[in-house]
Amino acid sequence: MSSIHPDRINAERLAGLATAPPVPTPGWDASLEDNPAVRPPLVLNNRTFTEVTDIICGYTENKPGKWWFPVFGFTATVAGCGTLLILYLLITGVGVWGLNNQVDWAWDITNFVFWIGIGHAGTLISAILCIFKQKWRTAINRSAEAMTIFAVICAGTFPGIHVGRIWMIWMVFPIPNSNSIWPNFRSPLLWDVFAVSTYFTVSLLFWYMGLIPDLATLRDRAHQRLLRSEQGPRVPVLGLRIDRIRANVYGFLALGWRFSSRHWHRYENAYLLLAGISTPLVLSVHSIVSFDFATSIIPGWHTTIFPPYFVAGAIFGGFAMVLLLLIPARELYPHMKDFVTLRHIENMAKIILATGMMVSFAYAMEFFIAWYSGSEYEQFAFKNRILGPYWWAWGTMTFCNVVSPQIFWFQWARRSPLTVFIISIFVTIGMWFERFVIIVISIHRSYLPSEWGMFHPTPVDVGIFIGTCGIFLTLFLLFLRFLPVFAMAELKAVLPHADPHGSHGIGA
Amino acid sequence: MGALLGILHRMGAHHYCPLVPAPPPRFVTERGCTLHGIMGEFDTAQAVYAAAEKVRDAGYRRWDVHTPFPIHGMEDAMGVKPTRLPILIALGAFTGVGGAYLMQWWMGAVDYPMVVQGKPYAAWEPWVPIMFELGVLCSAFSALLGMLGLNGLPRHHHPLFTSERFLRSSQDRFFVVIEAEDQNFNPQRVRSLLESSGATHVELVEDDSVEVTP
Amino acid sequence: MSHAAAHEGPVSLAEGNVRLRAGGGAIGTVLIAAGVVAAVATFAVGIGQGNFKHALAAYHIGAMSSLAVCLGAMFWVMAFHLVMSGWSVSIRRQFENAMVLVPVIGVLAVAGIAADVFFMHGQLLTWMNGAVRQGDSLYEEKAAWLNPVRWGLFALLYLFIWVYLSQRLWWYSTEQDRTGAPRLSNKARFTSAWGMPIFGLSLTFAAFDWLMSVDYRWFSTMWGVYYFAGAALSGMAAMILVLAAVRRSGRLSGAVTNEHLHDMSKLVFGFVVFWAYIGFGQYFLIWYSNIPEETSFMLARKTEGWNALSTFLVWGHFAVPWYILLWKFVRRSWALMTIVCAWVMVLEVADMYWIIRPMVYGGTGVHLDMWWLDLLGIVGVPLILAGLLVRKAHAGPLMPLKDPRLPEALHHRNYV
Repeated sequence: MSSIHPDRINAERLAGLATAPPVPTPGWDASLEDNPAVRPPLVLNNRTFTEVTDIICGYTENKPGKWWFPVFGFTATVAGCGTLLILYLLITGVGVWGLNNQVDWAWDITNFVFWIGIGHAGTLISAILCIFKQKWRTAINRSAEAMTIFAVICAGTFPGIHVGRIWMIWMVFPIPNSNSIWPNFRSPLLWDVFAVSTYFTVSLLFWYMGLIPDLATLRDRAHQRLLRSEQGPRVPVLGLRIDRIRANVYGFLALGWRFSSRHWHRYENAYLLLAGISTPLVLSVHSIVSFDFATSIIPGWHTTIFPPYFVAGAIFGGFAMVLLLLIPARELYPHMKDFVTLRHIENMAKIILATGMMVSFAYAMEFFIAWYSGSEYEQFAFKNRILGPYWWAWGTMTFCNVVSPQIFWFQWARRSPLTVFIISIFVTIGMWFERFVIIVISIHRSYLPSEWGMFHPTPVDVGIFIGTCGIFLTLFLLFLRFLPVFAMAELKAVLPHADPHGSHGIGA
Repeated sequence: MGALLGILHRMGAHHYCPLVPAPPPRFVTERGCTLHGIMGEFDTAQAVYAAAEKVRDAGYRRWDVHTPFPIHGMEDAMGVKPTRLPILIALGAFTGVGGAYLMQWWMGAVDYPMVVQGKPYAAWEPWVPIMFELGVLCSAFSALLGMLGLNGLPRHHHPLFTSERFLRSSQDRFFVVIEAEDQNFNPQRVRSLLESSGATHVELVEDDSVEVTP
Repeated sequence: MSHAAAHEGPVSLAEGNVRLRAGGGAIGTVLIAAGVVAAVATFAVGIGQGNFKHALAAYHIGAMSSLAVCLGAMFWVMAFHLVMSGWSVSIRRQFENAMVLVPVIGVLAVAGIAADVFFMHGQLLTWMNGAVRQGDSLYEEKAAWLNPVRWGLFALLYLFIWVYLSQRLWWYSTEQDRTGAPRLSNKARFTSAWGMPIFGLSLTFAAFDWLMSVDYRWFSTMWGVYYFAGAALSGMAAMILVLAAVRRSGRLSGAVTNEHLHDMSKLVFGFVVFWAYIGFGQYFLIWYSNIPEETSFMLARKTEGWNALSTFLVWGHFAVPWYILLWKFVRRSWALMTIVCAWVMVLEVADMYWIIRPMVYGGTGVHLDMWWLDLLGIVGVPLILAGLLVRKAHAGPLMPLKDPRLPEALHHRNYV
């Protein structure tokens, strides 16, 4: 009976087998270490707790880069124009869109599903990766959650404004009223109201809960500066110290968090449980969105695989958007590459590949079962996707969603931020077209040829969609400017020196 | 009356409710302020973890460890009991699910029954989405509010915030605070315990919200 | 403090901890013999009574449940490799043992219905039954898919894919037992990466061919995902049972702990919910749209007595295990999890029963006349699988001893 400590076995084994340590090539990123016996570092350059705090708080405490104001000005203008167009729509009516008798859902619902899908990546990162203990998520969860909230804001706009008589929108809520009628609880559109508002609220709670300790850090740093010196930047006219405003605003929001371990204990418990309930939530929300279509009897809309298929597609498109935001950010902000490493990019590229395969699987199932069912309407619907007048939409979707992510089978592509960025653009376009394909192609040809029509978007259609892109980016830029971009407390907890028992020699 | 006041004090009610008089201070600093406790500062997670085990074994009850991030296993090092939070969250979930079921059943099958697709009024299937969503909503609120409530937050003022050194607990330093209200509290012994546990700095924390008139 | 000290300190990697007693596999042989006898007796009785159809259905229920365990285990092995998981290294060998049995169980699963297709003129798979398909224009539409040649070739293809993938992954793992070369972990990961899509497609189409085509008129795009959900669930549940048994014999002490059980139980919980999600989604969309072509399947199982089984599945397969697994002390107790997992396995069989059995007497209500034949047929392949697993567990080390990530598994702990 010999009893050997496993670490020693491992060390001995590696000592016997390990070849020379890898020669650091230019641009080599230690996070890309591929030896299975070594866990690569999650944060590069051996950052200390002090450095992590200084760098991340610095993003909000220091003046923004020169790029920030011009970019913000541009996106805010776009957002403003979009808002004006929405106002125009509300005043004039939904006739300003290109909807017609046959295609009565088009860009509005396409945009709704597109945006709400994007939100799902944030919840996936914050909740699902959390319960799967994927520590690398700590570098991206904060910004991904912020993205979720902003995407859901954009998403919620569309069902809200597409109802036509906006002043009757209160009827979707179960409010006692003088007609003594209640909403129709069998309508998928009503489930949407509950699903989307729950999703928004829970995402906000989750995000806020994660923010509490980091807001307290910002509060304490502002307070420290106030105690240390009388000098400091002030608000131009009022003469109020900016740090005073910071200490008060961040302090108010931080709820007096004082980093107590007894609090941390409950906090971690609550965080994990919130992650646990957000996981089925993220599945349910897009499933319910898919019910909007799948409960109908329209060929191309009604199929049983829709719920998981929509969820996979949402995560697919959402990760592309996370990458579209983070890849430029890590170039623009100093030291951000220490936190968002190439390994993070590679992992997300892998998730895009995996979810892309799931989406392709669902496309394949739809086509196979349409043929196998022997139903001529199903068969026509799918033939019409490829060969009908919207063949180009289907082609774009297929190229972007099925073909383009296949490049991620190659390691160099996953590790090249530029390649990943370009594929993410493709995926984002592809996922918009996927919803367009499902919605418009399925309804533009109905059972009777007299019901056939086409959809032509108006400038208002296009303008409102671009406007929501502006709203989304504007909110995200404000987030980058005023809130901690990384979950500092969580990030510190995954550093090797956060382990109270010292290094096990097996990575952190 | 005295017993009731004792219970209220144990719950910390005098911090929140102006009607509850503060308990007489057990220790007063040279400046004449009530002593909140003694705070030891540590440089590393390992050091504060080891110190926490020592304080736990010394039998203190009213004490805490303040760290910039949750340290894994700290609840064991401190001897903290498992939290009751999961029960609260489960209550929230069942309330949401049950409430949604009752709401839909009463509104859709009793008060305003409506023929939709010829399906039974009280079919449970279409109610599942809203039952699920409200269940999630209520449990999420009970998770956040329950966590804050059990932690006694929000509490924007706390004696610890008066210490400038303590502000680094949110960044890169680790603190052990033993409160003066602990039954075993003895300033000399607490100080030597913290110093022998490897504290790089030890200081008194005054409770300036309760000023003692001479 | 409660569970912190459970496995502090070194873990023994001595033979006495990582290998079962030599010769202990005899019980496995007994189980296999019992399974073979049950299977042979089922068909003998079935053919003797002129009711081959019923015997085949019973056998097929057991066979598809067993196949689900092997395929589920295979999924988990690939998933563990793909995510470079460290904690699962010490439990992985049991999954590999189950995965590598796929040649036997796969052939057994396909043998019964292949006999039906090729020799018995489609008594259960009625698309081969001339009397049923005669003049059915719907069959004509599907004839290109539902014919013995295509069916047989594809069955061989699925088996080939599973055997090839499982053998390859098995080889990497056992080769690492010998050489300890870390790069074998990377190779296994690569194989899992390209293997996963092929595995997913083959599992889906096998579920179409071997389960869904029992009612050849009916179709559902969700079907493959439904079978997958049950497979991943029962694969994990079965492996908890195996590990509980191994631990009872005093092995893997400190290597597979409550912490590992806790994580496996969470995955069981997750897949209980996932199965319910997929099952509800499929049922709900068919119920809501109410299109006759699709409702036939649900109608047969919601009426005439089968509704009781459907209701039982909702409670037994979802609600009860879901509620029980909410409790952390259950998830961390080997004794309680043994009960829960055994229950989950029984309910997976019930799920297959729910799919296959109503088709035996063509949707005309419940016929329980020959319930003992059901029982006899169902236990056949599962007993063989159990016996093979016992023998396999005795054949080699109980965990991949030289996996570079093994130290992580031995240190595994759940915080929070």
